[in-house]
Amino acid sequence: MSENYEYKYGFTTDIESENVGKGLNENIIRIISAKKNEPEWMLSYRLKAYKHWTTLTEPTWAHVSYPKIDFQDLTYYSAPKPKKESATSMDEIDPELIKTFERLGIPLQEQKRISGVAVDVVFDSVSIATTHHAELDKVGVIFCSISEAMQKYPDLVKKHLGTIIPITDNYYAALNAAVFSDGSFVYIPKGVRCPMDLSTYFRINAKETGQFERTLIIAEEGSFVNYLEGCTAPQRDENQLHAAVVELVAFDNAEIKYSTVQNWYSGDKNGKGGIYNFVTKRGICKGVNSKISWTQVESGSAITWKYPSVILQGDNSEGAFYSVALTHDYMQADTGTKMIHIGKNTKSTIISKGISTGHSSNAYRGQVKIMPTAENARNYSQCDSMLVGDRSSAHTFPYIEVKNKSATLEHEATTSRLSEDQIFYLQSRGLDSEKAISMLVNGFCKDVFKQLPLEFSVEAVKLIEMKLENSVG
Amino acid sequence: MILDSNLLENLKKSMPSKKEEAWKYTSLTEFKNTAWHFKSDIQTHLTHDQLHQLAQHLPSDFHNVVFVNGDLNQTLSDDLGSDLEIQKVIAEDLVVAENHVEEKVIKFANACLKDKIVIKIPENKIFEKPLHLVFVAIEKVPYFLSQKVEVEVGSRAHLSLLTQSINIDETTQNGFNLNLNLIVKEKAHVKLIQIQNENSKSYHFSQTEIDVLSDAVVMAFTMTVGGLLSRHYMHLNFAGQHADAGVYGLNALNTDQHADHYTFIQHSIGANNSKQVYKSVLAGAAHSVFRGRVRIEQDAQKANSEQLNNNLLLTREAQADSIPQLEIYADDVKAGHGSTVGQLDKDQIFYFLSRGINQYEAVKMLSFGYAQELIFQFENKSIQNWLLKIIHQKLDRMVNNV
Repeated sequence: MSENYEYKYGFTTDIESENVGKGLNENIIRIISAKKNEPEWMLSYRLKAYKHWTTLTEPTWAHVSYPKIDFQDLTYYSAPKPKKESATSMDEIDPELIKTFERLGIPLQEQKRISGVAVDVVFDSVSIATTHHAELDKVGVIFCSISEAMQKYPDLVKKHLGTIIPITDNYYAALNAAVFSDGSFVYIPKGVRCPMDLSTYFRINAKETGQFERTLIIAEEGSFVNYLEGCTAPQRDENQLHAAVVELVAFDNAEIKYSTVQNWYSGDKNGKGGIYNFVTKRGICKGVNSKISWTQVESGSAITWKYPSVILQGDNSEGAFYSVALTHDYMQADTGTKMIHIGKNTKSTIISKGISTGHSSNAYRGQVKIMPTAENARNYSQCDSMLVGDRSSAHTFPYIEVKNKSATLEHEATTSRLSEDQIFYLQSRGLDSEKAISMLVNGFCKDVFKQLPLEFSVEAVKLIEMKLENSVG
Repeated sequence: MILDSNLLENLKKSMPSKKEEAWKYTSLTEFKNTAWHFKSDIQTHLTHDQLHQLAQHLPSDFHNVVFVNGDLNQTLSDDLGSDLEIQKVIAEDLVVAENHVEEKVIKFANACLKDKIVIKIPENKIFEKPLHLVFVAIEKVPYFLSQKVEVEVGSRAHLSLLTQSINIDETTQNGFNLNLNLIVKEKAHVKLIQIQNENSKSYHFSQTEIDVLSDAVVMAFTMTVGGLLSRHYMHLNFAGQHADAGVYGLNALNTDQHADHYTFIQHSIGANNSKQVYKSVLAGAAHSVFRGRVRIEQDAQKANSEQLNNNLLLTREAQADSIPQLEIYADDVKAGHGSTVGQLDKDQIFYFLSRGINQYEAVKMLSFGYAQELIFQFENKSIQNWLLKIIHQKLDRMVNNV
C-alpha cells in the first residue's frame, strides 16, 4: 500500500511563496500587520497579545505528550506570491493553486460548482478566494476573509474580535491573536436566513510553517447560518503547528451551526510528522433563544487539543456539541467541550464518540458549569469510547460543576471494545470483517453524523471507512 | 518521640492549594491559618461524664477499641481475648510515593505521628462481630490527631472493620488524619466502614490504600456527615484475579460543610470487578466534590468497572462538583460511569402531600430513601442499624433547616 493512498491529500503544491522568515518577535508582528495594511488598533492588539504570550507557559494538562515546540523555529507568515500585484477576479489566481484545490475537491470556479456552497479558501496564511459573492450580497450576508473584513468593515471586526476568546484566554489563543494572518469573517444581518451553506477550506502547504487562522461569525437577531470547515495538509516528516481561534456570536433568536471535518495529516505509521492541532473555539449565545451547535469529525492531526465551547448567556439559549474523534497509529487526541450555563432555562447537549485504534490515545475532556443564575438549566452528556486493538487507549475527563439546585444534569460514559459477537453476526451474514467493523463503527457514530449537512455526512462516513481500512485489519 | 514544631509548621504551610488540579475545588487556607497543636502532654484522664458520653458511640454488639489522644484506653475498650491482636508499633522510616496526590498531606500527617496500629487477621479466621476502632481527641485546644493503621487480612478470613473519629465536645476544633493500609489476601472477605461524624468545626483527612488479591471480596464504605472540611482519598488496587470490590460513599451535608472524595480504582492486572457508587444529599451551603478516577492497565484484560455519582441538592446554595475519569489502556474491558445532579422530584413531593404528609416529612422521607440504599447493602443488622441511626439523625437536622 503506497503512502499516498493512505493520505490522499499528502501532496505539496510547487508554488512560489513569500514568507517573513523564521522566528517570532515584535518586528515580525509589525511586518505581518503591515503586509495586511491593518489599522493601528489591530497592530496594538497584536502586540498586546504577543506581550502577554511571552509571559505564559505551554499548557501541559492535556493527556498528550510531544517534544517541546521551538516557537522560534517556525515561520509565522507564508503566502503564495501573487502573479500580478493583486488578484481582483477568479481568472487572476495562480492556476497552480486552482489545480491544488481541484485535487482536494474544492472547485474555485463558480461555473464548475454543482453544490450551492459558498467557499472561502485559506492557503497557508492567506485567504485565496471567496466564491458566490453576488448571491450573498443580495441578502446582505458578508462572507469574506478576515483581512478583507478588517479593511471593509473595521467597526464590526473591532467590536467583536477577541470578545469571546480574549488574548488572555490561553497560550495558543494569545499566540494566535499575535500572529494570525487570515481566516473567515461572516456577518448575517438581522432576520436573514443565509441562503446557502458557507464553507471554509484550510490548507497548509509551506514547510515549517504554522497556520494561525482566525474566524469570526456574527449572527444578528433572528438569523441563521450553517457553516462548514475542512482542512488538509501535505505529508511531511516534521510536525507542523496549527493554532486557530474561532469565535461565534449569536444574538436573540439567532442560530449558528458550525461543522468541521478535520483531516490534517496525522503522521506516518510510526508516528512521524503530522500536524499539531491546538485550536480554541468558542461561541456565545448572547441573546434569548439563541442556539449554537458544534459538530466535529476529528480524523486527522498527530495531536489534537481542541474544546469547542458554548457560553449560554441568553435565557432559553441552547448549546450542542457532537463529536466523532477517530485516532489511529500514534495519534493523540484530547478533545471535548465546555458548556457554561449562565442564563435561565439554558440547555446543552453533548454527544461524543471516540474510537481509538492502533497505538493511539483518545481522550474526552469536558466541562459543564451551571452558574447560580442559571435557573432550570439542563444538560445531557454522553461520551462513548470504542477500543479497537489492545495497544490503544481511551480516557474520559468530564468536569461537572453545579451551583444551582434547579439544574438537572446527566452524564454517562462507557468504554468497551468492538464486540466480537456483533462482528461474528455480520460475518455470518456474508460481510467480510472489514465491512463489518466499518458498519459497526458507523452505527456507533450515527448520532453525530446525522447532525452534519448531507454532503459532509457522506464525506465523514467515507473518511472514517478509509481510515479504518488502513488501521484495522 | 519529640515533634519538630518548625518542620510541622513548614509542612502545614506547604499543604496543597487550589492551584493543584487534584485540589481544585477544596481550599485549605483556613486550615493553614489555624494554630494547630500537635502533641498532647496531658496525661489522658477521662472524667466520668466524658466516659459516659463516649460510651454512646460504642454499640454493645461491636468489638470496640478506643484510642484517646492516640493512646489505647483500656476502660472503654472491649476485651478482645486472644483471637485478635492489635499492636502499637513506633512509626518510623515512613516513605511517601513521589507524585502521590496526597503527598503533602501525608507528609504533614506523618510528621505528627506517634506510632501506628498494626492488625493482623490470621488465615481462615472468621470474625462475626464487627471491629470498631474509635479515635478520640480530648484537648481543649485545636489539636491535630494523626493515626496510621495497617491491617492485613489473611487468606479466607472474614472481617468487618469500622473506624470513627470523635471530638470530646461540639465546640472544640480538631484536625484528624487517618491513614489506613489494608491488604486483603486471597479469598478473604472484608467490609471497611469509615464513619466521619465529627463536630462542625473539625477537619478530617483520610488516605485509604487497599490492595486486593485474587478472589477476594471487598466492600469499602465512607459515610460523611460531620466535619467542616473533609478530604477522603481512596486508592484500591487489584493485584490478583477474579476479585470483587465495591467502593461506596454517602455524604449528608449542610451549613458550610465541605466534603471532597478522591477515589482511584486501579486495575493493575487481572479480570477483576469494581463498582463505585457515591451519593450526596446537600443542604445549606454545603459543597461536595467527587473525583473518581478509574485506570485499567494494559494487563487488566477483561476488567469490569462501573461508577456512579448521584447528587441531590436540597437548597439553592448547595453545590456539587463531579469529575469522573476513565483511563483505559486495555481493549477487552467494560467500563462506564454516570453522574447526575438534581433536586427532589416535584411529583413525588406532591404525591406525599396528597396523602396528607406534610412537605417537611415528604422531603425527609425521600432524602432518607435516597440515602439508605447504600446502607442496606450491609447484611449485618448491627452495622445496618448503627449506620441508619447516624444518617437518620443527620438528615433530621438537615431537613429541619431547609
